[in-house]
Amino acid sequence: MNDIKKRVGAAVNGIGIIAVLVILCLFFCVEAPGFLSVRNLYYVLQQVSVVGILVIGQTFVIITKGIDLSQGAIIGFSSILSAIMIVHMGIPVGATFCLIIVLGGAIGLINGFLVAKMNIPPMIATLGTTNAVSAIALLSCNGSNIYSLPASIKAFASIKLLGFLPGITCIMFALLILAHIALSKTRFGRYTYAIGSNSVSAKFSGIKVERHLIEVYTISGFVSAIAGVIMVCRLNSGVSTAGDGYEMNSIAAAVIGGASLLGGEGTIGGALIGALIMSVLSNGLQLMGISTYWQKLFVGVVLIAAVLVDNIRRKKTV
Amino acid sequence: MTGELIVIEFKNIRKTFPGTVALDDVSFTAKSGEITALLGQNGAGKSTLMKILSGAYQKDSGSILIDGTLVEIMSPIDAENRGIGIVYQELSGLPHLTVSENIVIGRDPVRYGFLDVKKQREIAGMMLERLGAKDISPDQRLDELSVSQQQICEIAKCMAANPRIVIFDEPTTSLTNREKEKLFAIMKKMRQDGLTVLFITHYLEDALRMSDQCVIMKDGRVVCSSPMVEMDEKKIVGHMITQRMDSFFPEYHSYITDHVALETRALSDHVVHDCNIQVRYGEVLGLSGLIGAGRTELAHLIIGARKSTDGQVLVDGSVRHIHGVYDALCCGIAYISEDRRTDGLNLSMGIDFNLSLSSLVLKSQRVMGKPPFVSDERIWNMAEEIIGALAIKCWSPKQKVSNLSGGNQQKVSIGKMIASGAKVLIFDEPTKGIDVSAKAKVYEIIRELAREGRAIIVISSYTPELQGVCDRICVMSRGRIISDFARDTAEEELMLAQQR
Repeated sequence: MNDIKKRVGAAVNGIGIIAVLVILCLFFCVEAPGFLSVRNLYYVLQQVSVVGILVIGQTFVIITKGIDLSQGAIIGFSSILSAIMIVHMGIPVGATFCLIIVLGGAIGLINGFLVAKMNIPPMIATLGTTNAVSAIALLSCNGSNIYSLPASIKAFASIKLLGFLPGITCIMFALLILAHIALSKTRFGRYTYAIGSNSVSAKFSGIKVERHLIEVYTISGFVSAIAGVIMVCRLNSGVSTAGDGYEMNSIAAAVIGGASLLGGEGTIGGALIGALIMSVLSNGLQLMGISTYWQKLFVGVVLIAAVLVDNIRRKKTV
Repeated sequence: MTGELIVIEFKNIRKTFPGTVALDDVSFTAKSGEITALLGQNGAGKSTLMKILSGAYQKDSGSILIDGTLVEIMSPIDAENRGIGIVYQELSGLPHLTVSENIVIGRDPVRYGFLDVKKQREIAGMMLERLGAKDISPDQRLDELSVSQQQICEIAKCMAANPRIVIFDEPTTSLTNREKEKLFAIMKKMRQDGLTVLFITHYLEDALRMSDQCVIMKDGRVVCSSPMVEMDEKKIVGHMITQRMDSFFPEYHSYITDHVALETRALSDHVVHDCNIQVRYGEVLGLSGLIGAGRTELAHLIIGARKSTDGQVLVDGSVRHIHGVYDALCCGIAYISEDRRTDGLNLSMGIDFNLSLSSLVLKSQRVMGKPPFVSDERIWNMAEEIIGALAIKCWSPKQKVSNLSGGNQQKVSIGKMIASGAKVLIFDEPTKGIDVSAKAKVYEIIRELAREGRAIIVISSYTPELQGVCDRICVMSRGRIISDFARDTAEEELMLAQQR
């Protein structure tokens, strides 16, 4: 009897967050003119892609009981550096992007090293790299933006599949599926949960905790750079502040999606839905003509409500 | 010696916890100007009794008289107001505050609504001077001090409340010999000042040297109370030993083979010195000793969780370099830690998750599907098998470990390592905090593993347990292996060896 109750409880929780997304969509279909149009769907999907990619890295990091504040800075860094390499140095677009993504991974590696080997709290370590990385980004172009990127980049950003699916959203889905498999079906994923729920026990079970943490932060840096490259394509320019604030959106998406900052909890599916909820909310409110200032308030309320509901549920099951 | 006045009198104290009687009909008295040693094995009830006196626990029945009047001690503050001070075994100071802040905490002097820092330093300075601690300044941060200096601060904090009764709960465990002498000088001074001192210790030598009276407890009862001059080590141990409950342990058969599974040669670091042990397949080796004797540290050296400064670990006769738990598992050595909640289990995860962890690390076929994927189905099957074999009570292999009882949690912790296929298993205090029936099951599991031909080391502070389950017992003291005993050695002899 107890068994069934708990199973139903767990299932309802999984549905709960999807239900929130559905209700939001239904509400905006009625209230927001133009919400239910192919053009808007395309726009929402394009908008969610950057956070949808960032949240992959953030979810892994949060499950290990950490946090990565450097994601936004890495986006700006990737954005401006790839523009410099393409426009000023004349390096081919493909080669530039590959190099930038590797560089992003390297920044993540530094984060991981600071957290795992130097024992610096994740929030401080990534705050430090955030400042360093944005300084490099600003210095490299004296704070100005770089325009006049090749036409091929703009063309890539506006690829449309089936009339509504942006090309960059396909990249997001591909990465999400890979991450979901890694998290739920491989040893890598099990270690991530094990370290987050009790790192000492993980160590005594034979897991190489330090190495794994470095790998997780590297993934986060790596996907942040991918998001940065996508940002270059979308904006068709290099902007050193392009990613400011995005790390907070990815943290919010992961947490709305059920990840716990106490570690050991979170899923990729939940994180995607969290990201969608945030995008739909801001898009719908915008269509309703509500100012962006109000939007911030709503996002804040949703974030806190999500965690509150989760806490209440947790108390019940214990 | 000033006083002959009876200050505290315990009368028929009884305290029960769910499932056990911790104290039963405990009665004795302590006088002013005397040090009373409270002795007994782990779990005899000494600490429970002191927690009742200091207000941390409430007694079920019986009475406590202070200066001949009946008192009810409702809380630690209540105890403090009645002049009872306690110095705990673990340091409880706040490391980031200064010495003087720590000493006055809870009784901070106030002037015009603000903290009176001058007065605070005055009080602290006075207390430290009384204790003869000239090397400690009231303005130092607590974490700048050595362990023994921190302990002196704890005593100073206790003294600042001006107690008439002072309890020392195992104060010497973490001290060097010189530091211990300092502490004893302080205790002697307290005696001279006419305080009543209660001294809990495992070191009989210290108790004999320092105390005027001796109270020995066993299984929640006082079995002996007499002046110390009439006692010696042998007599005390004679009172402390418990009857072995043979029916409680599986019937003994020897499964020892000729092949040595694990051997250490002169293994050392700064706690463990020159340890040589040998375990054969099918053999259960006990490691006995007092807390702080270096048993857990030795185990951690073997599995590479600590760095050795010297010596070698041999598995199946060849030297292996083990730099971490992963290497140890690869060599077939598994360690089941003493504190399952903090370092043995992932409490918020399922039973199956926990059971599979070490097997996953080793890429065992029992939990892996087609690489790189893990097989949920195989993990489920393995979990069901282990749950059955170890009789883990649960409603599903997916149940969270935090919802299990202590005994069942311990079985999960053990099951994880059995599943990894280790051929050498090290159990650290395997029955700590679990109920009687779970204990019996753990003993059965250990003997069964030996029958399967695995080599086993059991670390325990409870001597009868080692006698019941081991083939051979090594006694450790102060980081060294003192001697080797057969399983049927008298408990008395083992306990005397621990004191060396």
